[in-house]
Amino acid sequence: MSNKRWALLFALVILLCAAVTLLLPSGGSTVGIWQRGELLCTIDLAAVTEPYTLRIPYEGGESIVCVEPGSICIQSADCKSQTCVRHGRLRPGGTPIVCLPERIVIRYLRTEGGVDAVTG
Amino acid sequence: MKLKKITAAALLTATALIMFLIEAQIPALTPVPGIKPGLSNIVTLFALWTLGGWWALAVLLCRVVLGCLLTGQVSAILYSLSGGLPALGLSWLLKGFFPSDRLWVLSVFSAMAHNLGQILCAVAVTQTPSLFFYLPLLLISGIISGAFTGMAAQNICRRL
Repeated sequence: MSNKRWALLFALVILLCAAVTLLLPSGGSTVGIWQRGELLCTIDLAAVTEPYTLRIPYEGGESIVCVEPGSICIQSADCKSQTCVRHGRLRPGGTPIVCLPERIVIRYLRTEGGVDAVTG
Repeated sequence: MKLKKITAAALLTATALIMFLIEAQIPALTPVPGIKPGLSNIVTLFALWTLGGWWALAVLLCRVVLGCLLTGQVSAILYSLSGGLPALGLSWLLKGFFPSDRLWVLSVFSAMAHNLGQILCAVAVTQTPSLFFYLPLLLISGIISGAFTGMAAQNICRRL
């Protein structure tokens, strides 16, 4: 295949991926916090009026999640990599906050009956 | 000949390590985290092309282990390897099917394998299968950065 054809093929794959990303149902302002695949809690960020923090313990250490009106982030974590802290605020349409050492995932929920109904 | 290869591999490891460290200092290019240019992939590809698969593997392993030790992120070794090993593995497998002026195509495939490997690792470690829904988003960045690092490697190989 020529360079042009390869470029065209990859451009198509990019378009396809973009379409899939955009077409996946996005579910408003509710985020979920998982640890080891278990849903710990869900928070409707639009309903938060006062900022508060959550503590998520894990094997002697803990992560502190900062919940503010309309945003959520991991404020501190007892691990060396600090990847989740540097991730900053969770953005709609962006990647989820993932903390591998403490097995935590924070991401937006999708709409009811959508993918979350399947994956739990 | 072997001595020459060892020297070349050591130099490439040093180069990859520098790229890895510099890249770790660059702030995120996009508002979406997890998206990186993957500059050290240039070195891995170059090593694969000029020295062969086993040498490229050695360069990759040394770079990941030393890079994670130097940045103090020992726990990131597993995560780095979950992307790096499938990426190298796939390009090693496909190497014979691409001429030297299609190195960038090979690089795109290896970037996609990198994305897939890291997502599988994240899913396994966090036990959250729904992370798979971010694969398309990561693939977009993987294809673009893979094409660029591949073109860089291709140009270097051509000038040998």
